[in-house]
Amino acid sequence: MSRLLEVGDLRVKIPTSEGPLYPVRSVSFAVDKGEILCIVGESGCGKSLTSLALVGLLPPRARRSAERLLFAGEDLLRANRRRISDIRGNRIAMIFQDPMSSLNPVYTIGSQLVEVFVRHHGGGRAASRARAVELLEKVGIPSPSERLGQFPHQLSGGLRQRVMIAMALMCDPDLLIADEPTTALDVTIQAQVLALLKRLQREFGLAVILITHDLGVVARMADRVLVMYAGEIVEQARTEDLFARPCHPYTQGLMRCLPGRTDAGRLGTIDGTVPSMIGDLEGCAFAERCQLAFAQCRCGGIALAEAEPGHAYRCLLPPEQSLRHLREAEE
Amino acid sequence: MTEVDKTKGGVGAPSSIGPLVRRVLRNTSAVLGGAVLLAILIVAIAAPLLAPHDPYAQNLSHRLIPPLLYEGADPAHPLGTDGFGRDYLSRLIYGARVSLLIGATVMLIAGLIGTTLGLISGYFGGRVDHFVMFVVNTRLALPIFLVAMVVVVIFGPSLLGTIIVLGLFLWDRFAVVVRSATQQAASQDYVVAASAIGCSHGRILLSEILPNVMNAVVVVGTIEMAYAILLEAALSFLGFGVQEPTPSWGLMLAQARQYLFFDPWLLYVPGAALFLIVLCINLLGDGLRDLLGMGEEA
Amino acid sequence: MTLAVEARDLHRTYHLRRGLGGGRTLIHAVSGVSLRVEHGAVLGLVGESGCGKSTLARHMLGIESPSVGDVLIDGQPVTALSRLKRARKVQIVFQDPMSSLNPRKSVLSILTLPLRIHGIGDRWERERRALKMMEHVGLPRRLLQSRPTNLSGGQRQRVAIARALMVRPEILICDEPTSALDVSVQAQILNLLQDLRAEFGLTYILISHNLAVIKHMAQRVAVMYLGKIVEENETAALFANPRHPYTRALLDSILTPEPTKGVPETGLGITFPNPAAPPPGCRFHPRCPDVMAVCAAEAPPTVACERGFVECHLYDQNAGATASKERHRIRSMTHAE
Repeated sequence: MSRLLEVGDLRVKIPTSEGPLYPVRSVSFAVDKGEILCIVGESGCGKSLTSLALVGLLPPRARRSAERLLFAGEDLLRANRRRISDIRGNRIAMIFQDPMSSLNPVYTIGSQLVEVFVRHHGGGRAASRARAVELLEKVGIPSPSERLGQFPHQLSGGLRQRVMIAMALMCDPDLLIADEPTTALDVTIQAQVLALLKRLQREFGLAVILITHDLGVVARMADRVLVMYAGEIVEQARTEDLFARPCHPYTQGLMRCLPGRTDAGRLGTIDGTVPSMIGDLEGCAFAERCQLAFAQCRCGGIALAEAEPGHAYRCLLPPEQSLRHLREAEE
Repeated sequence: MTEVDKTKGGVGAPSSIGPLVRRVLRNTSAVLGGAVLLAILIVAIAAPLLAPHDPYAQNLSHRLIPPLLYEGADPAHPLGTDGFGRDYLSRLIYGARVSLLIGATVMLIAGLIGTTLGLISGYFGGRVDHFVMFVVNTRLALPIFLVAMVVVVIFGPSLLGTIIVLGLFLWDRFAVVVRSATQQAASQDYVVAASAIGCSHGRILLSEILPNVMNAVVVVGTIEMAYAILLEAALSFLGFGVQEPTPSWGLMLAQARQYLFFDPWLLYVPGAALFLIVLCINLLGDGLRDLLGMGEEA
Repeated sequence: MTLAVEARDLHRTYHLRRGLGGGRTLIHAVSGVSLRVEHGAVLGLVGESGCGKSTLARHMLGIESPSVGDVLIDGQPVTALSRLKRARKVQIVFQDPMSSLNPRKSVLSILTLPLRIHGIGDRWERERRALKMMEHVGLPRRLLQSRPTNLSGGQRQRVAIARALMVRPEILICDEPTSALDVSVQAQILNLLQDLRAEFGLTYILISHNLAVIKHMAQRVAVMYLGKIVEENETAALFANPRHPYTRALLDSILTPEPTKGVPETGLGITFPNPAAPPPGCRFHPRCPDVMAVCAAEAPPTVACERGFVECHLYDQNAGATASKERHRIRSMTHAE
């Protein structure tokens, strides 16, 4: 069975003084062993909360509900807190955007790396240290044994992020969730860290959920892509298919906004703003901003339609029509 | 940051008074503390109307009458009388004036000195900062009671003297907290922007930084007010603050010492009043800290 | 004809006292930067952390004084200008729309502040001008009394731009104006900046680490590394034919949305640029894939090329036979890949 993670109808609800907020509304997807899945979207689309919901790391007032949440055949919905804690860091690892706040500044790198290993595998310190050195080397940090004694502030941002990757890999996880891992890094460092991630992914046979807002990162890293908007998946496809034939108007809009996509003087834009996610949404969340919207778009829920095998999008327009619009816009 | 349009609907987005009031009312600390404090304030202001007797009127034939519920009480003196036959309830009510007056004025004086120093120190940094911190450390090294004693010896005891001494002593927390808040505010881009627009340093400090630092000032203010009231009581207790016959809760405590074993209410009444007022101020401060801390800048 | 902005051999070092015992560190933020920006031009300033671009921006703004050298605005040294005069010539838009607006002030107050400082108009005139500027930047009138916390990131950035333009400066420094914004909002702001430039005849100094944005907006590009400009050229020329190895690595690192290409390996190594301890000779040499012996020993010369210049030993015409042979060797290697 190559299916590693199965998510069915995941929802997140946060009560606020103005009413219940639904930052994640019905997200369903699957991740296979060894594949890189990118979740892409702009701020507020729910991509980070989706990943946090998987491993039970939602903020205190948030509530998660799902129809199905299976990890390697195990039902995560029924698992108790202890079991989730055993899985986190061990079989599902996470790395976040800001390496400075993910690493504890008062402990050495070595002690933090060792802590992860000892928590899940017990064992002697010597074995843990050896593993730590091995991984630091794998992530390309020179003189790894000396680094064990260093503190996070002594390393640059790029190195810290590499340490985070090493920490994530200490227990040889099956799934790595990386939430905007390179957004805070310089451009040249970003390329290095992503290349490293890809190399390690192949070497360790990891499945990766990579969350980003950067379509360039998506194009270069992902095997498959989920595009999220207002808490829903609006399009999912294999990477090549998504960039060659984006079917959802939002995806098309995003790509039009990229500088360098066309040589035109003005950049394409998406007018309007994201709708408020308090309370229920009637119809398509993107309808207000969509140039192709019609009356039907604002009623009822819009289901995912298939454009081609493995490529689905949440829109009432048939694929030929939306693609035609795309081509017209490009001229 | 989510690109959600928060301003749709309604004309503009006026400073939301409605939800603000609601939020304030939900905070029990602030409401409780504020309400009781307000009641004390009203009592203090209306003292001439509320006090049944003149707090200075001595009546030696009615000395040490116990309060109601004790044996031998007199309804004309619900809280009894003190060693000079003065009505205790009236002295308590007028005593509130002294406490509140001292609390408020000291807070203002100390607040002014401390906030100014904190702003300058936090904004300019460098040598100015070192100097101000040196002054703070010097102040911390001075023992308040000794200084109060010296002031009394030189200038004689008085309410004004007490206020001045306390005001000059309690500004250090303001300075330190405001300095920290200023440093934080000064690191924000809008301060650089103000500088680029052509604002002078003074303008930046007063117009851009001070409003953002006021939260901290208010919270420290409540702490210092409570502290000032207690210190005044302590000074008066020791004889270096307010003098006879002015009704001050601290003085009342001091006089209660000699009658402690036989007429303990003389201690309980002003003690309870001090406790109550300090508790309220602290509750209000706590509530304010919650409300302001989670304010718009969060 | 005077230039809009000119930096002449600008140097700036900071002294940092570390820890309790002292031991002062010298931070070489900017080391010998010379720039010329013509009126109405858009100069793109590219560089990564520690390169000194923000320090350079503050010097051009006139709020910091150089250790050596000077910055001229319209032919006059910016430090010699009075606070108010300087403000009417050059303004800045910051990266973080959250911290660049005072959370306690309304949009009206923020926009009229420059007018109040400069004593322009009365209360009604100022409000009128504020509303007019809001129209220019695409902000609806109803936001006049809003506080920044009630605005979205894009709206805040528009307020920041409006504020900068209230006193009609000629030069606008945009320090990563869209880095903190979503892609769709970024596009709106960039379009706005272009429109405003045409409408008000502005000169831009656009600082960004996003090369796609620079390529879209700038006419000339200067690449900074550890306090120095290592290459400067017209945009099209720089992107078509990057000379400096760092420029090449930067361009290689751009992740264009093309799925088949994979992640580029820039071959830069992991030493990070530390302005407190810049390497001897060429500051880039520890990370340079084309490093030669001379790079560690001597600082590279400034070599003119096409319509720009590059600071690199690889292009040193006077270096003689050895250097030239090595250059050929490296060139032939790279072409073989």
